[in-house]
Amino acid sequence: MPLKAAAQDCPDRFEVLVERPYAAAAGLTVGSTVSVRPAIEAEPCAAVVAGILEPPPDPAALNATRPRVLFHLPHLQGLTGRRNEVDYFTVRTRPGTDLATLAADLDPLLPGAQVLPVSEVAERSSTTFRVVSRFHTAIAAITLIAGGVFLACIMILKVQERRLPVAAARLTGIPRRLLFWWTVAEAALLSTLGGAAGLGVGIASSAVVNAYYQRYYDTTLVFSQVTGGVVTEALALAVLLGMAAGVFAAVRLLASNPLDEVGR
Amino acid sequence: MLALNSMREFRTRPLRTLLTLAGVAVTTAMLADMLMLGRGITQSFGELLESRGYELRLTPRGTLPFDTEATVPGFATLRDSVASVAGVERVAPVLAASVTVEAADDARPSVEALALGMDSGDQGLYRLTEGEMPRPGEVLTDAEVGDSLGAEPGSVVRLRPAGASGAWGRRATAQVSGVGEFAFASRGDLQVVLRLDDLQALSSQDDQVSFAMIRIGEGSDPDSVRAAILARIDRVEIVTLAGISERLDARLSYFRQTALILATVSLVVATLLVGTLTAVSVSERLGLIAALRAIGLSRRWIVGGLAAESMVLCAIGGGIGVALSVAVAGYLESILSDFPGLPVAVRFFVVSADSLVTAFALLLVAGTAAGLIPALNATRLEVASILHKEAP
Amino acid sequence: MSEIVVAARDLTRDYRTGRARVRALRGVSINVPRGDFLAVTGPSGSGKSTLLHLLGGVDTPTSGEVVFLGRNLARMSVEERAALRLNQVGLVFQRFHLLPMLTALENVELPLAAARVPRGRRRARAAAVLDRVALADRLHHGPGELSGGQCQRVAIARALANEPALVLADEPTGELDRATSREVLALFQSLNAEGTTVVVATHDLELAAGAKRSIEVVDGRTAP
Repeated sequence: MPLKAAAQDCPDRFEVLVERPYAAAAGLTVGSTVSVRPAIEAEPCAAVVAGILEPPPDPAALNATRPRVLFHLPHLQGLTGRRNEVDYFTVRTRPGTDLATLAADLDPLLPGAQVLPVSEVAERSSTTFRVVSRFHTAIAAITLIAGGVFLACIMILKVQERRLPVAAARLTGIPRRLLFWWTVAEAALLSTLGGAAGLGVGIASSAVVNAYYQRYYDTTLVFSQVTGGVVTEALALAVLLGMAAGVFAAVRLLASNPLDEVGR
Repeated sequence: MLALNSMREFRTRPLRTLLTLAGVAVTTAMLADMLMLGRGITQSFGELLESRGYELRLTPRGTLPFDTEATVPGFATLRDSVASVAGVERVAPVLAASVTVEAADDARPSVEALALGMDSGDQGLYRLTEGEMPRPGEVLTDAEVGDSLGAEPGSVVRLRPAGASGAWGRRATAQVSGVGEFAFASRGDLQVVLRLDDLQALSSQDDQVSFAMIRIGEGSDPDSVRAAILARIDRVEIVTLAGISERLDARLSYFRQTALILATVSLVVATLLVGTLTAVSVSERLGLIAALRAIGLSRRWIVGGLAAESMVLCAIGGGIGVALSVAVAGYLESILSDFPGLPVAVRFFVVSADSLVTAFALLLVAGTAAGLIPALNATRLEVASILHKEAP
Repeated sequence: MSEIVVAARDLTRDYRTGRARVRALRGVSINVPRGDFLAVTGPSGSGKSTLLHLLGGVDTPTSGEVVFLGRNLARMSVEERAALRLNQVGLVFQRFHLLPMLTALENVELPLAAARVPRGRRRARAAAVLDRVALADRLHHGPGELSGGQCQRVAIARALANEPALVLADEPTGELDRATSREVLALFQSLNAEGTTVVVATHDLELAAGAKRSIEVVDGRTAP
């Protein structure tokens, strides 16, 4: 059956750009000749590799199973028989333009097409990352619960261990308030140190994750980023959790009668 | 009897016991969920594919069904070639194209839907829930399209190819024949079904299909039939169900690897928790353990008793965790079900006895082993020196 | 002459405390014949407990030897000595060391269970021993529900459960008041009168005076 793309549509000086991983896999270098056809039955056109591209660090393209090849627009239109057709085009606006109004004005001029502000395009194309981000948040919450329980367990053990010395300290006249803050401070210090150690592990594992996935997907994309915000949030949570566990422990520790603890 | 003592001690330290159980339960739940996540996608997608009753897919080279807009041209000839291969029982072609569907009275806004052009009787991709399958000139919609347009079986709708070119291009009027559920639709996707000829005409894709489903005869091996088809036709891709699952698996490898990492972390946290608590518990009872050694209880007896304590904690906490994991899986599934481009029927978390039992067993072994270490250490200490230290 | 249950020859025992080396026993030799009731007295830290631990095979001497019913303990492995203690030695501690969550009956059953005595027989035996120490009415009470004297009697019953050749008691009245200490002494005397060999380490002079004979350990040596 005749196809839209045929040999007569082969452009003059047909040049393409190919992405590095594909070029490496196919043994292509600048100047190599490749054959391009829109369908397997179509007659091929010879094109010259004009350049090798580093794929943009686009998370959406990570699992792309087919290599991306860049054409001059008229060349691709000619090759596929879709003359004067585009999938989309971008519009640069003058500073201060109200995008929503402009989109609404343009919409009736383009029946069958839609005009979207770039923010909405980003919003629509980032569903995957929003979902993954929500998933990570849920996992972080579960981890926090597990960490909190662990900390509370340790503090309960500490309380049991401290009953006698704290009772003795109270009998020697050390005020309850001092002992309370001593316990809270100790728990906060413990969790801060634990949090800092955890951050160290986090930074190291982040480096491992990046190295592994960058190799796995052959990309420069940064998968895990330890930002100042992440550090602050993690440490703040650790300290807060520690203080909560400390208060819990201190209240239990100071609730009993010291005479009962040391034995009347 | 040592274990009996420990069980009773749990009751005298309720907060400590509850917190330990909570810690073990949360980590077991996490472990079980990550095992479910690691296996769920492959399992549920495999089940979905197998439930359709077609063992092979014919697609344009380098693509998977619903993967691209690429089509296989000259399908009529191709179909005859494929059908003549030994072992092939039926070939069901599908053309997928985006269409705009409008209510005939223009009373409601039009909707964009994915139209599937199929032969009569091929319900591999959808299940009829109301009305009948479409005859020539008819369309079957999913419930959402029907609701959006206020259309029901018997209503008339207008269809045109989606996109700018469709605005001035062909249009067709079709009567709604019925309503169906679409197995491979993603969340939010709208789908309709037309007869293959109708969609080919509407989308100007004569004799083209997006892919074809191939049913093989009973007793035939999918891989052998695939090889036989490819030996005859090399311009297409023939994919087995296992091949499709593998590719989906590769696409979602991130989740599998995340699951592996988190499962390992969960196991480590549970081990640390049980190990720490057993170590503390052992150190609290060092004098008693020394005394029991002194009266002649064997090392194995004492270690067995202490290990039983960890094992009971892990068993109870693990049991709660397994139950909790089902709830947590439901919650995480509700988050990941918004993942774009996946059929709604594909589940990330498939609750299976296999995953639950594995998680429980792993935790039981790791927790018990964690408890064994301090117990073994305690029984290796010099009994006499501990008794000396214990003496007032 | 009576059979020797345990004989110690020229025992020394050194301990390390940090870098320092402390000699707890310096060449102690004693014989304990069957039916003896021996009190080992001496001030705190004199080596009484160490001697008791060596006699029972709980500890091993730095030099010298302990022969228990003709068997040299130095030639036995840790687990063989544990089995010997389980079946032939009854140990009583100052702090009782009862399992806090088990009843008196279950505590006494413990060494019987470890010796693989069938459940029915061990229940009956434990109940009988508790009856012997006058606790028949406290079988199902836990240590928390018993007085100090009652706890020590449970511990003595536990020591007697496997009908040992020797009972070793380390400061058995150390945690008890005077009246209760007398009850414990009377119990030991009565057990000894029935044929049980008893060695008690104590600094309780009244308890020591109640024994058939006593030796004093001072600075790791038996006093002349």
